[in-house]
Amino acid sequence: MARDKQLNPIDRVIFFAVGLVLVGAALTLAVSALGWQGSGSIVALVLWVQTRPIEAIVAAAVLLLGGLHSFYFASQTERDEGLRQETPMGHVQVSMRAVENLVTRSAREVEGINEVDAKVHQGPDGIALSLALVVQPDVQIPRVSDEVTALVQARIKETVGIDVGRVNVEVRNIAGTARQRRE
Amino acid sequence: MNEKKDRTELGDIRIANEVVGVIAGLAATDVDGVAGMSGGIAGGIAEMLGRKNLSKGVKVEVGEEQAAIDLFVVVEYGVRIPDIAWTIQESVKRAIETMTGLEVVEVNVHIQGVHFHTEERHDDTRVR
Repeated sequence: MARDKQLNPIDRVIFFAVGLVLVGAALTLAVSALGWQGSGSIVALVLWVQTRPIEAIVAAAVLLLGGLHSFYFASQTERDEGLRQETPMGHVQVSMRAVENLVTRSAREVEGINEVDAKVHQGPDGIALSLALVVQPDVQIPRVSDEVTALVQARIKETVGIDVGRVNVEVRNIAGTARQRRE
Repeated sequence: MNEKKDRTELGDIRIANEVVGVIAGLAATDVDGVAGMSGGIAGGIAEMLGRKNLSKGVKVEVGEEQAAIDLFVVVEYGVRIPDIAWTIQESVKRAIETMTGLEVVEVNVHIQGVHFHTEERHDDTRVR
């Protein structure tokens, strides 16, 4: 899903590091459990830490920061205020993720659009959308962006019942170019 | 925690909040276009452990006479959310009021997601 892709580079690095530390800890534990006392075992590690307190403290600080970041990351995900409408019988709230999902799905119906990444913001006049597109090489971008803007506005109005104000379209790439570079 | 309590000649009648939640959950999932309830992390874990939770995605506040309900819902792609929200509010209100005698003052509907039937046409460009 679109949400999952949005891990930023810092998160990526930290999760990679956390993974390494966990694997290292697992190996150390396993080796020590088998009775190994030499380098790489817990005993050797403890002795090494005692001879170099400064390095150990720096390492501890780094681990602590990584751990705190992971905690923060895990706890902050599902906070989605969403769009709220009052009705006589209570309010109806549509999560931003649901709206983004809808927008992505609708925009992909437009011919010539390959990938869509949608962001929804609360603007002064209704909601504002940002669309990042990857389009086919043979399309006219002005036509496609007009078409996608109109379609998305109509679709959101119809399904969610909310007026869409501005729609910003960014063409991030032309389909095919990125792939050639990757291979 | 407060719960519905009626005093009759023969004794008290209490309705647990959980019961109100189950009634609300069933009434909401019965509405056409509702794909399911969204239970959050705790609900997901409970479900993984094999416990079917009928009041998943429902939060109830029950007083002596009145109740307010929050529903966390996933809807099918293509439905009109204002319409379906209205239908959910109506049917949940009706179900709770007829079954428990509580007055439902508020049914808040939170659309947590949109469910798509056909899995998206997979990047046909990749094959090219």
